[in-house]
Amino acid sequence: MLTYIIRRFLYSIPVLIATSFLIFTFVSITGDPLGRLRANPNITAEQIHSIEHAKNLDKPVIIRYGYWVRDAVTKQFGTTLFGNRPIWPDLKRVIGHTLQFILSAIIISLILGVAIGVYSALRQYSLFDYTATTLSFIGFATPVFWLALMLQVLMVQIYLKWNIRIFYTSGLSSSVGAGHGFHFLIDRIQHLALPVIALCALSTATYSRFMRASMLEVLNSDYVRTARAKGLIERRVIMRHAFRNALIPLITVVALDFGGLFAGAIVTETIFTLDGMGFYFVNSLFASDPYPVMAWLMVVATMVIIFNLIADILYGVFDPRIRYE
Amino acid sequence: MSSEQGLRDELTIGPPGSQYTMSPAEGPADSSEELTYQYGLEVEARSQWAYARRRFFRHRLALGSLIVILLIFGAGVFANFLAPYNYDQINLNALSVAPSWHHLFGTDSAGRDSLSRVLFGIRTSARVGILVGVLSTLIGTIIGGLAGYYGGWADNLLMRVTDLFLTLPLLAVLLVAAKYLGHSTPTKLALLLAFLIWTQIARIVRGSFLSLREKEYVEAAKAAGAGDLRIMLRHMLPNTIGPIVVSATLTIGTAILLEAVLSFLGFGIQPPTPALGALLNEGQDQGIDKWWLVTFPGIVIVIIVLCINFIGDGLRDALDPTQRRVRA
Amino acid sequence: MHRRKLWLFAGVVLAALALAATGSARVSGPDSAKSKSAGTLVFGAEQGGGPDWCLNLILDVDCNAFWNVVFQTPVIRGAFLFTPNFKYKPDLVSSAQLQTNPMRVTYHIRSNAKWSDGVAVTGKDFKFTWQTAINPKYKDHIDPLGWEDIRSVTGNGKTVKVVYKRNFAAWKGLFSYVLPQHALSGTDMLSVWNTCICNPKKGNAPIGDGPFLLTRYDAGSGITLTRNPHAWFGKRAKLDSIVFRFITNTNSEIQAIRSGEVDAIYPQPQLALADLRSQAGLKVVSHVGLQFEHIEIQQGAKGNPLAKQLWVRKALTESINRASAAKALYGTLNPSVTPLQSIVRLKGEAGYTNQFGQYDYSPAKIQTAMKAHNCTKGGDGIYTCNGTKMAFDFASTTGNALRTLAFTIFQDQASKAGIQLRNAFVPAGTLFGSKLPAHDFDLAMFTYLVTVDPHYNVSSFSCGNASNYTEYCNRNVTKWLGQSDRELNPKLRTALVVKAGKQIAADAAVIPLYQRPTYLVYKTSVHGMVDNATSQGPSFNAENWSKG
Repeated sequence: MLTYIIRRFLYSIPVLIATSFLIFTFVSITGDPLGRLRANPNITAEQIHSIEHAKNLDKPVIIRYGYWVRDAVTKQFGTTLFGNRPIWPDLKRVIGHTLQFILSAIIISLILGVAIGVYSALRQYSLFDYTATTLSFIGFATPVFWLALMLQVLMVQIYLKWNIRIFYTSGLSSSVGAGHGFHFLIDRIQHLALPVIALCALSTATYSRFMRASMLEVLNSDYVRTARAKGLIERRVIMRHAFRNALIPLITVVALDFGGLFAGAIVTETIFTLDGMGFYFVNSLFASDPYPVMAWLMVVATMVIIFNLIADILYGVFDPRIRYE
Repeated sequence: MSSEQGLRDELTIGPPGSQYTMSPAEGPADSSEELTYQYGLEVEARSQWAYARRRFFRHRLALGSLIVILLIFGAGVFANFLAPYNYDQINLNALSVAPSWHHLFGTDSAGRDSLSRVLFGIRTSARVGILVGVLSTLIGTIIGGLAGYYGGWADNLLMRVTDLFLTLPLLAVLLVAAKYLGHSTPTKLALLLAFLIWTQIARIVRGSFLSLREKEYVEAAKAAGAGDLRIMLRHMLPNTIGPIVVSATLTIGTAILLEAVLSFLGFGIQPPTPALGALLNEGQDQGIDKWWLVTFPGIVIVIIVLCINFIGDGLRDALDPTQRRVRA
Repeated sequence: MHRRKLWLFAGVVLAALALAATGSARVSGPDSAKSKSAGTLVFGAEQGGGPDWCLNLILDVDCNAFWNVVFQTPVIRGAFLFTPNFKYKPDLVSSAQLQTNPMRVTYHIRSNAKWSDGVAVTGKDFKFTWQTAINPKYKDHIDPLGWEDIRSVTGNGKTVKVVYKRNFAAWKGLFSYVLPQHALSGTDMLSVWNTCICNPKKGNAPIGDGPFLLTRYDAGSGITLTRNPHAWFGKRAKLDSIVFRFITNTNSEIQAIRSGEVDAIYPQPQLALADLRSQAGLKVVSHVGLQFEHIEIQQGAKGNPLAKQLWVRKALTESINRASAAKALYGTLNPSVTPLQSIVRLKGEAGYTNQFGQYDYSPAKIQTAMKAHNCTKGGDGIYTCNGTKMAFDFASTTGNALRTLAFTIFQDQASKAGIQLRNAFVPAGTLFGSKLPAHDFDLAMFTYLVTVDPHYNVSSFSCGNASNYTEYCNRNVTKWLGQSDRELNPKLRTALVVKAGKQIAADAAVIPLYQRPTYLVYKTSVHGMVDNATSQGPSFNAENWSKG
């Protein structure tokens, strides 16, 4: 078991390094941060050269990559290109907000997805199954941002007609600044509810479909047939044997979905103006500042790799066959 | 996204009889031929494609979706004739009108007819989707095929590269690239999308070629002196066609959704070119209370992608003869 | 049994959600949802808090954003304030005397003007502000206009004497933001007020001389202003605090005010706002402001060579129907928006005369003029003159629905006159950062946000000036505008500017479109809020705001 974990861990490291190089070259190539300055005739060529030199932009890619890695590791990603604002404090703040929101979405959609998937599998071809399948397909086909917009409108209409506010349509909290206590928690839930629902729709559809397929496969497997043949009651068969085994491949699905959730976060945070990573990313892109963008991509890639590592380990814990690969 | 693959396996919605699929290699088909031969009634042997087609048409949802998609895309292609107005025709006397007889989908803030814009938008989005589907399939098949066939370092390289692609959220990568493109035409956007989402198909083709490489007929062909290219094209590719076609179809749906998101965020197709995502962007700017501007393009997107997914599902059922769904 | 467990589970989850929803629905009715204290007003701010937002307003090149002024007017005061009727009002000073030959201004700072830590506002602060503005270290961050014309600032008490080297007519605009010398001397302006308005020598305690102090800056979320517990020279603020929430998405802003999550918003005019007028519980106030949209015609080498000819420019001006465009764009927002008929003065200002009324929308007249100049009509209805097509690239900013709509309307109207307008929209950064300064456009439509002072005309219309993007050059106009900059008599100054304006109109150098209206929306439970359509913004009287 330990060797398995160590092996997975060691494998992740070159992936991380390669990813960092890929990120750096990709962002550097696809944008010239000084482009706007260059096209401005009020700024002389010498000024541009001196800026380039100060920011190490006139060196070859490998060396710039080296500087960037050094900054990333020692100076916590350094500062933005324009304005010299330190990147990490902003990033740290927005990571916290986004993780609250993504992790809630994962947990809720896991619970719902597993429940729906298992029940669909157990009652295959029933009305519930057909309904769940249709809804899942609709969930796949619905753009997340459209769902978010519709939810916003719905909440506002409810407020206007009946004067109750169920969920908020923008922002992270009612009052600016950190707060404590139960009231603050409820407030935060009310603010995050709509974005979480918008994200959950797609994830729930994914997990429930997968759970259903996995459960069906397990139910048709030999060992379940054996268990039934041995005379175990159905509930035992399902809970002890089928369900647990069907749950294992879901780990991989969740791990793969994690990256996609950040993409969903980009869109929902823009619509609901949440101070999170997605919003930060879009703003940095609009400002044409490469360093926050690179830092963002690096942080996300690291989180995805860590998450995948955890998923691999969990998979190994639950499925002994994998460990001895 | 590769998770979505596994979960479409079990879709069968229809009367219980429809999930019995039999491969031509066994089952009643053979016996009926024997029978007919015995009794002197000749039946023309059906080809693989015929069986595939029959299976597809049995899948009623996929069939229905195919008809709907043809209707919708057809409406887009013939938008010039079907649209009651031109998509950029301004009418300052009918600003932001709710759906009515004159304007079935209402008008926008410049008095342009929403129905016409949606029709032309379907055309643009369909064009982007199909172009991406074809291109990414091409790229993915070539790269995946080469990697799967030659194995070794090429295969390793491909797997590492696709792994890397997986660690970064696709949308983020697209946004960075789209910003670089700037003001993009539908064709440029399609090229950009194709270059970034071929990894899915590549993995499938690679997996298939890897396993097919070990088959006896490939060995036989090699022994007979067939060149690598001939083996790949004549022996391995036809056996992989099924998953390729399914993947290509689903990619079209993904591409349309991605175009919608990019245009919505302001990075994809810019107004005034109508594309479904761009229409949603404009609609959102004009106030969600003008609900017709946001609802109709959104519903159209949902229907298109839904139908494409059903068709993909039907194709998977039809083209994979080894799939058996037997009730326990 | 297994089924029951699943349902139980689902039931628990749903119950938890329902509890959260209903529990809070009970607790938070329509109004108390925002905050505990009844004395807090939440204002939705359209800009602010992005990764490179900076607070220090003295660095006007970097930080001069309209919303920054709105956030800080209640905190840091200046010599003069713009009032809603477009006039300067003495604020930090009780009076200011102007003397000529040489130009001298004597400020009398209010006797009760003091910083929140008790130190009085004196001439030392004025001197420190001036020295910071001309400090070569901040050369790239502070616009030296006017500051460099000052020879000396003297006076350590409540009387400050500013002596000028040259006449500077726009002197009232200087010292609009007076820094506390005792707190900031010796610090680095580029970093000291990045995330707070505070005294670094006293552990970053908030500092200010207005009715409020800036107590919290949460990048990405908002800014909190708290009532200044010490007296300032005006009336004590009625509210306990004001929270500016950053809501940078127009659609979210609208949903927020409709659902009561914020108490007021001050958005850029957008079509979506029209629906707010009809909503109960909200009050909408709209005034024609000191921003005007206009189209500049490139007369230099990079533009369409036809634009160098006067008749072509006149034709362009007459090929669009400004009145119907104004109605289509702003009719639902503010019906009083009409075409702007002067480029040098705005409606509501002294000296506004109708100089562009001579140009009326008349496609027939244009077609006649085209034929008279031997232009031939092409198959697409567009004329070609001497081999050059009457086709112009029309640049403006992307992502602005009203601008896109305006272009669509103009394109349609111009095509009826035989002129083709091509969409050349680019992101705002590209337009203002490269295309305009490089004079790389045929036609460009954008907004000028101006001050009450007519100085901006000098930069736009003088021959060879860096801000003169059109390369329009008329010696007389340049002479008159240059004189106006040094003319200290307001009436004579206005007359010079108007004379220049008449010539500019005759030369059809630019096309004025309309003044953009402001749009202040607030709940009916809010009192004391007054719309200020100048660059000062609506927070100029924040001490009078109250709720309930």
